Amino acid sequence: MPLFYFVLKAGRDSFPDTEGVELPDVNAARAHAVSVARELMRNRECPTGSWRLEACDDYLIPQFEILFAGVNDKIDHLLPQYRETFERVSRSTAELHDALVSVQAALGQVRDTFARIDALVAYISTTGQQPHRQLE
Amino acid sequence: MHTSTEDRPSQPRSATSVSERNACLAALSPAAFSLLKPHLSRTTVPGGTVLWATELNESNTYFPMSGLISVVYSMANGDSVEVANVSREGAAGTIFDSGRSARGVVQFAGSFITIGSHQLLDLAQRNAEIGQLLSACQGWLLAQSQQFAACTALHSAEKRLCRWLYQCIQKMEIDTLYATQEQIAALLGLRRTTVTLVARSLLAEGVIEYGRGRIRVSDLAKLRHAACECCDSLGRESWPAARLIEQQSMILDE
Repeated sequence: MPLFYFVLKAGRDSFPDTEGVELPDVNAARAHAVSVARELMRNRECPTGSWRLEACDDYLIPQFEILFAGVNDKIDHLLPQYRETFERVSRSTAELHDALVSVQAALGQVRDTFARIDALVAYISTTGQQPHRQLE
Repeated sequence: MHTSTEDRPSQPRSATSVSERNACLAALSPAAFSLLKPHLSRTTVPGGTVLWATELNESNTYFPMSGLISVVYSMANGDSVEVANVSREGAAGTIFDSGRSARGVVQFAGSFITIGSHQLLDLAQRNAEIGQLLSACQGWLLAQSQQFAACTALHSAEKRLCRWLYQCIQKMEIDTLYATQEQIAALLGLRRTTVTLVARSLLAEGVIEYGRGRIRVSDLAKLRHAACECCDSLGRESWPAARLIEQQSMILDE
């Protein structure tokens, strides 16, 4: 039976389940993901609407992603347009979190680059020589 | 008593200084305890042991000195949920389960003081203090069942998991539990994946550390903060010993 790994994306944090679950196929994995998402959001549906549960296969390749707001059965009674609005806002919030994570990663790379430049400048000004390979 | 592993409990030994390690028995006056003492024995029981169940003809009452007994209610499809748990603060057994519908499972191995339920009932009829002990222990199980029902219906999986961990370490006075995530999931009526994902978030927040079936609470204040208000309702002030001591002081004041 194939093994599926689930990753919880809560705001800007990601929490993987490293054990994985054996399930017959991707449909069973989707049903499991919906049940887990409902257990995780139960009694805190509003603040977790933008959370997502990603399912990956045995090679950790993402197969599908579930938006919590999309499987929130506590808003089933709402008119379709209100439900769609809640889902759209939740999805936008999730995308904003993804964008912020990308920006943070890019800023980290910029900081590393500046740190390397500072080290190079300091070396050259102190020794007046070309830097060793490891400083480049 | 049915043991699920080869490691069977040791033979009962005589009860010595037992009242000091179970808060309920410790709350009894020396006179009341001396009535119980000849009927008490001590046994060590491994984790996973079923102490009582519908199909078992078991009639002992257990006063844990260590470890923890879970009172578990199962449905026809095999799904189960913990409706109460008892450690050093109380007592458990079929004597408190009038419907005989729940199972008593040793969640964490420990030493228990045992007494035949018929003997305990007989003594309770003859001695008011032992009667109060029974009533306090039964009240404690009922209070927990009511609180657990409300908690399961109204609180999030994260808060419930934190409440369960907080209760276990508070009752057993330890900071490390040996429990698998499957075991915890079955007690809380959740899927194992849900428990793992919540545990990962608690690990990231510095609340717990875990690995290989071992959970250590690294920050008790953070754990309490992350748990639900049920921790207060089920705190030390509600434990049977507190009620017994309160009743004894009321009698002395009269």
